[in-house]
Amino acid sequence: MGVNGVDGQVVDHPDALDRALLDRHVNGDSAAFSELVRRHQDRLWAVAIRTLGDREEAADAVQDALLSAYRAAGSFRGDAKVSTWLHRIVVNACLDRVRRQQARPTVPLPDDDRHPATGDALANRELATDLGRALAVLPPEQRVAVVLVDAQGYPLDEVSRLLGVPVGTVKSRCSRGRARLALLLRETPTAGSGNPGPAVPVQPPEPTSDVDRETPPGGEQP
Amino acid sequence: MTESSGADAHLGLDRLADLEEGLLTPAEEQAARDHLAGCEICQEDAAALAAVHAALLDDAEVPMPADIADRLYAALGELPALTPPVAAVTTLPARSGPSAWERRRKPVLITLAAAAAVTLLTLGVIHLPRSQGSSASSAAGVTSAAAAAAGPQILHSGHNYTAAGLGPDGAALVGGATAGATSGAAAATEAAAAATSAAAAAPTSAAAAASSAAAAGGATSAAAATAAAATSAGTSAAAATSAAGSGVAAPPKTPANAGASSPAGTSVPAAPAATTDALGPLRAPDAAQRCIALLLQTSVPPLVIDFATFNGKPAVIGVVPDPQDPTKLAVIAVGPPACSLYSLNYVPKP
Repeated sequence: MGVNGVDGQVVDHPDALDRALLDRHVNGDSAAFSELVRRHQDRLWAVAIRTLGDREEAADAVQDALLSAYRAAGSFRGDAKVSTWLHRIVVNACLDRVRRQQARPTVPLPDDDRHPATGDALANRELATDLGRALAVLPPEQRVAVVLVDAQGYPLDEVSRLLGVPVGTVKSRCSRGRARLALLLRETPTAGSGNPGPAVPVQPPEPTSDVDRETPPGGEQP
Repeated sequence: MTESSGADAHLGLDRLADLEEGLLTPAEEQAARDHLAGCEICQEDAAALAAVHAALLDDAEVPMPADIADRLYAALGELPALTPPVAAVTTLPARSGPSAWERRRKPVLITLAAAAAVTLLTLGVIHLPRSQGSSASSAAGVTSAAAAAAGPQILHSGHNYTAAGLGPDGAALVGGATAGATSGAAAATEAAAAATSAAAAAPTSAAAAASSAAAAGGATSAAAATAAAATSAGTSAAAATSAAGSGVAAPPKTPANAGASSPAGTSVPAAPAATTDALGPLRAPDAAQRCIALLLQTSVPPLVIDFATFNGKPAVIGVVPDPQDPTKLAVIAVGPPACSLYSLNYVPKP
């Protein structure tokens, strides 16, 4: 029997399964790619909805990205995790859209009310968390930095490459974004009184705590 | 948010965030830390920033709304299936019934094995005619060619691997091989000193015998010859491996393979012929190597291939450098039917 056969010792290192699914897909199994995507859809959705802050934009970005990943699967060379590869494709699609949003001079935007769709977006269930709402009103460049570095765990140098800005710029965008989020979350009426999180020890944080994080997507531990 | 314009001014969220991100000059940083240590208001701000961090960490996944997921999978479903890269590869039978995802783990794995089987068999027909022997360099295909360049060490340890012990035992194989190939110094394993000296020498000689036998014979006889080589070197090789993995290996689950996990020192080699026969096509090192490459999706050749058992069943253990992390090894157990994944572990290089 197969993988699960050895006395119930199913072993399913996530990336090995991903690779097997991708292999099936490349070999013509029409159901395999969707199975692969389902394994990662919530992480892919998180990066899209959080970086774009708009449900329809995020849906389009994810769909466009995954349709091209479907076609390009044959070019996957196995030097990264499959989940990382998928994630990057979606991130790139989102960043393209963020850039287009920024280039679109439709709304004269002060920092505070900057997203054209913010009104609708706030009504979306996906943004109904305090964090989702707060992220949606950050300036896009801060939002992207914070989402990629803090939520998705991308290394700073990779974000620097993705965004085409120096590492120092990524750091300062993260810093500004976090400060702003702290303010927004504290002011959120639904957050109740006090801080949104548990009281955290207030030792001065390690300045480099973010720098060496492992590439995240997939979340598998080796 | 107050800017720090004087010694008594509060830091404010921006400056605290900069402090945390390492964006302040050493002098500014020291001043900020000094202030923070004695200021409750700033400590509250720091706690708010920490809460932001925690909230973001929790936000790596957001459930995709059902309507968006439906739309996505409908769009994906409309795309034509890819054309298999090798013309001769048989397309997998179309799957029917409930949505593929409803059959989660096990069925996925079963079809995974089926897919692997198809690929393996096809490769076998195309690339590995028996008359060409088992020399990897004669096989077409990038993977085998790449793998042949370095060439894995072939072992027939007869060791019984378990899911829990796979990583450490596999890593120990590499440790032992390295020691044997270089200075003969005892590898840093927990093995007893006596067993360690055997471990340093045995795998290398066993592998040398096995690979020369494999080069001389055809695929079928090569398997037998390798088995024979393993038998002759069996005592020390088995001792070496079980010594290296001692303390980790679990008792065998089937009496038939009881010999496979004998403790260090007892000279009971596994019944190699029976074991390798039961492996089917995987008994050929080439095929085993291709199977491992297929499942790991890498062209990096294994360092070691060990014909052994996993949970008492005939299996091939491959130890492969993790292509993504040079400090790690992938230890994979594969076995019949065809090319099935039994277990996979990533461990630090010894």
